[in-house]
Amino acid sequence: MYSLFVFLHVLGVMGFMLSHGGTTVMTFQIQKERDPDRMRTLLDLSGYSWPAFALSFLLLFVSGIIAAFMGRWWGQGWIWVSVAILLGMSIYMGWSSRAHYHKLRKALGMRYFEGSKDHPPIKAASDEEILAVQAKLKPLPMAVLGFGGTLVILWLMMFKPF
Amino acid sequence: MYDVILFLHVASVVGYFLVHGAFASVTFALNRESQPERLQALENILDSTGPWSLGSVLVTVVSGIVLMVMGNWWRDAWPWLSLLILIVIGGVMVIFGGIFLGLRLGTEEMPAKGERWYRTVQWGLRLGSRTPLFLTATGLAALVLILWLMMFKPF
Repeated sequence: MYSLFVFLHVLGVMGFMLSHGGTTVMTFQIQKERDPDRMRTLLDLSGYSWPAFALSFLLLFVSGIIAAFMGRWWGQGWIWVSVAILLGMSIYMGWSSRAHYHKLRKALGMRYFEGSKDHPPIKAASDEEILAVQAKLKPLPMAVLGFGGTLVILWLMMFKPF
Repeated sequence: MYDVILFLHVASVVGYFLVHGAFASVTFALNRESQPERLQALENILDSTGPWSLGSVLVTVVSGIVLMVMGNWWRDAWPWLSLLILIVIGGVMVIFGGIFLGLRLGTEEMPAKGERWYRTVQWGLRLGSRTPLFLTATGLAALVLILWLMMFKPF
């Protein structure tokens, strides 16, 4: 039974990566675009995968928690560090997305989040304003943190060092 | 050393899925788009992720083969079956994904009726807008099978 939950956990991780891929690549690709309509296409692309993203995150998180109880891992340090890294990454990514990508969505006249509220589209800003918001996007630190954090979690899960 | 290669193998699989996710998202998005500008934005994504996708699958396969030798797994059937499933699913993705992307993006012309490629393209066309769903379902089935073989090493 324990192996089954580890299997589901790994499956959840793979599904999560698969569903997060569109968003990851979008963050880099959108920097190269100058046409507002192309930018909207890329932001839409990220939005389409949201249900699969949420479902796979739920699978990996719940199966991970159950596997940790079944394996009696809660007494060890590596699992707490893994959970802390996962939560830290999720909070930072969520904040960064709201702070930068939803500002761009707003400027492009798309549905956007501000604070904790979902807002309907408003009139699109001028091309100069859109490009000014786009210039502030910094995908590399987010990607390094995201992939680096994932590798650290993978190392902790595989080698259980402490 | 075996553990280091195993870590590299799993990390490259994680990287592959991240990059391949962009491909999957684009195939679904192509069903919703028709304007040339928006199609171009999606095509740019495919162009930019292609080398990363190829690189990560190469690291996955090479590190997997090294692990087979180091762990003496090549005597068992499960790694060979995993490799076979990977090759078959790769072929399905390249052929049907290629036909779908080529025709939707207008980069591939319909072959003439007598050409060998004609019948395969007809199969691809029959799938039509269901192609992304078909590719996702077959891809996920292959993932579940390979993961099960890797984790439980049943034979």
